[in-house]
Amino acid sequence: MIEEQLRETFERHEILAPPSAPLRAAIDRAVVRRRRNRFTKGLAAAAVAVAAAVSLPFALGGTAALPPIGDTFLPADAPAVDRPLTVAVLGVDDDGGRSYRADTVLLAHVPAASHTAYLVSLPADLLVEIPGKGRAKLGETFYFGSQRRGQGPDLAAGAQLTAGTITATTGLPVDATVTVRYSGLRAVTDALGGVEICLDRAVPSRHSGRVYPAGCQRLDGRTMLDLLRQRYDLPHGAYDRDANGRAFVRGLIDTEVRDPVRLARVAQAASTGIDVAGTGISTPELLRVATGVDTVSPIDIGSNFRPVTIERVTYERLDPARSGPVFAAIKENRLTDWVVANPQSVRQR
Amino acid sequence: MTPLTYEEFADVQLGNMLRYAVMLCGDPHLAQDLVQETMVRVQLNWRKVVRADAPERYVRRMITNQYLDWRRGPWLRRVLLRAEPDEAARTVPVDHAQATADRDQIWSWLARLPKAQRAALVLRYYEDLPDAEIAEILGCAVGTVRSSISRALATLRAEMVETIP
Repeated sequence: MIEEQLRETFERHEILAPPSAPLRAAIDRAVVRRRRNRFTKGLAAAAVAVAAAVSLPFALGGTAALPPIGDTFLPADAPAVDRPLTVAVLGVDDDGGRSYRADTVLLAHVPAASHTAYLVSLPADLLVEIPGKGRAKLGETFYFGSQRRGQGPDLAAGAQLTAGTITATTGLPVDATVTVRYSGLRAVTDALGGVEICLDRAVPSRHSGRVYPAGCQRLDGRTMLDLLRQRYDLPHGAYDRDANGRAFVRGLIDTEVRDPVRLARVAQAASTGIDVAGTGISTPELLRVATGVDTVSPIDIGSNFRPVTIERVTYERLDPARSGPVFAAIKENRLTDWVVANPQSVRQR
Repeated sequence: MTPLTYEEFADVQLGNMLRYAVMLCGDPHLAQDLVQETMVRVQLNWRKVVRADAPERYVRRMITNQYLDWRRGPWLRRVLLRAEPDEAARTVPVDHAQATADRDQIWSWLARLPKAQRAALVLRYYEDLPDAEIAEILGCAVGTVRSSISRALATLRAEMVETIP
């Protein structure tokens, strides 16, 4: 009988429920406010996302100015872009500033109207034909392009030649390049207060003697760089190093920045260590994509692990059975569907 | 099939969620805060919510957790919630609510129950959910649901014996 009274009591009090229309409007206003805050956070993620995956807003103009909070220069809810975008992220080791080669070549592809950036790494030792120059390793392309007799290297030219070579090799158009110097990566990691990276297997360091255990760990800039440089004691060498690089990008994207002071530091660090060049895309477009991305999924295109040696130089080759379908899907802008059909190729957390 | 959009979900469910929150809090203003806070998060994370098997149950669980955690949250958040009253909140007729509450003994006794017990009562006697589903929403075992409900009912019966001679 108390049960019946309870039911009646509840029913009788339904009229207390406030009307939903004004609440709905209040919710939408609060969402806009919070998205705006998130957008500024997103800028840092973009700084980084870009650093690592998509593009870096503040580096674009060479200015490190952040828009004041609450007065953003883009619509608060950045819509997913309506065209596919492929960005080549080149991690270059700046060997004392004398010569640069790309250790890491990562393609970040954002399908049209998607919030996910898919990462595909190409081996730095991949055998490529540089248009007009002949046989080389993909990583060396950057060196050939940036080298200037009697003066400092021209990073933009290095990035451009690498982008052209990627297109010649994979058939994929590259809309923009992001050149990340290792020093920049270190500065960004430190500015973020460290980044959590999740490793599939333990990585011993030849340089520091340290062993990074399998699983998730938070590392500062110096140790992160040490980890990301390792390739020799890993079962698949550079291939495993690339996998660590992709893990780092994921860690970056998941790092949340709430403190505005820290945000400014990240922007500053990013603007000095990362160069962005668009070849087929405007700055606002790149920005819009960068801030819209909230998920990063690495795609494994494997390797045939059977290097070829030509004139005493050893080159890696792709496994066309695995890379071919991915490249075709990107080219035809159906990667999202392809990923759904081939979940085993994608690492989901 | 196109996935459910936030707008479609809100069209159908916002009213239900508000009524549910009123039953939990016993107060229209608190209920409104509770639902607003939750629905903002729902909208911001819509793609995650819509991936749940039953988005409606997922959101109900969010509201419940928010309600159970309310006093445990940081004081700053409570202060901020109070610091920005929405116009909508002011238009709700309070006197009418008060009058009803005064008239209704059981309603006022409910306010004295531990929150988890009240939530269990609401889910069973207002939402008419099976115990298994209640357990899922509350994040506890079915046995715990039954014992909270029976304890809550015992408390209410005891109150009733005291007041009604």
